[in-house]
Amino acid sequence: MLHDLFSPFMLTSYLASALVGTACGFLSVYVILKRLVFLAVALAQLVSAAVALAFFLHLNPTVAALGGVVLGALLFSWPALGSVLPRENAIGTSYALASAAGVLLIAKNAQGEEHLLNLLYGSVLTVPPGELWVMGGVVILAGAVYLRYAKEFLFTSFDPEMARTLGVRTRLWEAVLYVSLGLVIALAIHLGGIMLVFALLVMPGYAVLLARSRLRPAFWGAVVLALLAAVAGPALSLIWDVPTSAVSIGLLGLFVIGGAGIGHWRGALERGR
Amino acid sequence: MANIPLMQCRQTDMGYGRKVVLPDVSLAVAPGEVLGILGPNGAGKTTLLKTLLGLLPPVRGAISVPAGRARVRFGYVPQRQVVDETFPLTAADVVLMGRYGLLRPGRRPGRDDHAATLRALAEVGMADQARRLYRELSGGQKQRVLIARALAGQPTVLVLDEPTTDMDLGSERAILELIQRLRAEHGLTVLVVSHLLHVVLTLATRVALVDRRVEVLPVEDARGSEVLSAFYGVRVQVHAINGMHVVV
Repeated sequence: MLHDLFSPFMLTSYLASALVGTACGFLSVYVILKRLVFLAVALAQLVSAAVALAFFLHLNPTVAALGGVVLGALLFSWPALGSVLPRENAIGTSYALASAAGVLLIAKNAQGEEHLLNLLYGSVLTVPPGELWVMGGVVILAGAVYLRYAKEFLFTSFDPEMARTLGVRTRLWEAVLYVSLGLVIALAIHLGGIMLVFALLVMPGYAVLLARSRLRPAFWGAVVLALLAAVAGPALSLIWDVPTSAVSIGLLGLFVIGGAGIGHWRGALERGR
Repeated sequence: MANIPLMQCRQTDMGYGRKVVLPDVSLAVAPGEVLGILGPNGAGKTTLLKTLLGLLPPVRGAISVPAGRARVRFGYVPQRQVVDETFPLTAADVVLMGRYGLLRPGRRPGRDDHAATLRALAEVGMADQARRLYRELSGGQKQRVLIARALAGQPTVLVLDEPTTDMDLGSERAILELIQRLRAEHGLTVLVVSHLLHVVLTLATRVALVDRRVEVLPVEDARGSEVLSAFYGVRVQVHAINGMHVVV
């Protein structure tokens, strides 16, 4: 068993999981703080629909996923979208339409069911090395952008109006955030599946913020939790012979419960002072 | 130079998109003055403020800076209710943001910026609260932190949007005194928007009455009962007690 856990095949899946976990874990803090949970799931569904369309039209699915998600991210960050009614309405409509389009396209595709399963559960255990390189490149690029422009992202997210009075280009940073979120989702879904990616985009950030972490430690904490859950998933699934995504999501659930417990304890301590 | 306004607009239409909310606005902000912006809800106070701040483009005309004047640097204090308290930021983290406008994109705050943050917190009497989470502070303390954030950016114009809304009497009094002290110490020009008459009448040197149009008066004229009674359509009396103005 130990030999199997460290086979080249498993090492590749650990690396894929680590890349997906790092990118999604970091972004999960923004997803929670900026209330982008609904947006994240809508973008994930747009990727599914774009991939289904690519299979239907015999196009490259990765290119289709990237195109779909970048268009979606730009659309959702467009300020006029929320001028009449809250933006969530447009996001919800896009989610429903993308879901329906995905189902229709898969139903009309002879190999539909197999692709649908791949979309939903991912293939982290069978990742081709080429996709690892692409994901690795995106993680490094996005990480560099987020570290270098941390103050712009923070200010734009926390108080966009004040930021604009000081000359910060909030629309640009908002668009960069959404597009990078979309890129990560598009690539990560292909590696880890829609269920795991959505969980990684929400639950690590939720866990650390429930634990009353301050902002900077929250980013590192979310990355560590996401890495743990993502990498432990393939190993435990091999040991227990169960689906990878479900194991990782179960672990994330435990982290959320732990975070809530720590937060409750810290709150009680502060009230007692 | 003292007579040259910091910024001005002439016959400018203000609004959202192509919809004009305030037509034909002519206004000049003089250095060192406190311009109070008064008006009922929905009258266009926020439209005027956002246009002056550059957050909204004018529908027609422009906000201009007279020749020889440097570009205005705003220290904006938004309504504290609009600040997102989900973010686990300390008071110092929030104040440090006031420095971001002085830094190029991608440049991290340095030692000077952190020192300016602590100075600004000390000026508003919040130095001992620097490490506390912003969301755990009282309403008055949050307002002080937001004022410190505006000060940290070394503004020429301090802009306060409803600075005392939802505050108890003691906190309100303390904030008004703080604003008056900071204005005197820093030689700041102040724009203050409030639907609370006594706040504007206590702080302002001139008053802009806004109700689908803008009329600017010296504060002494605005304190006249006839002017306010005509503006609000109800009987209004203003009494001065110990430097504060009470509206009945």
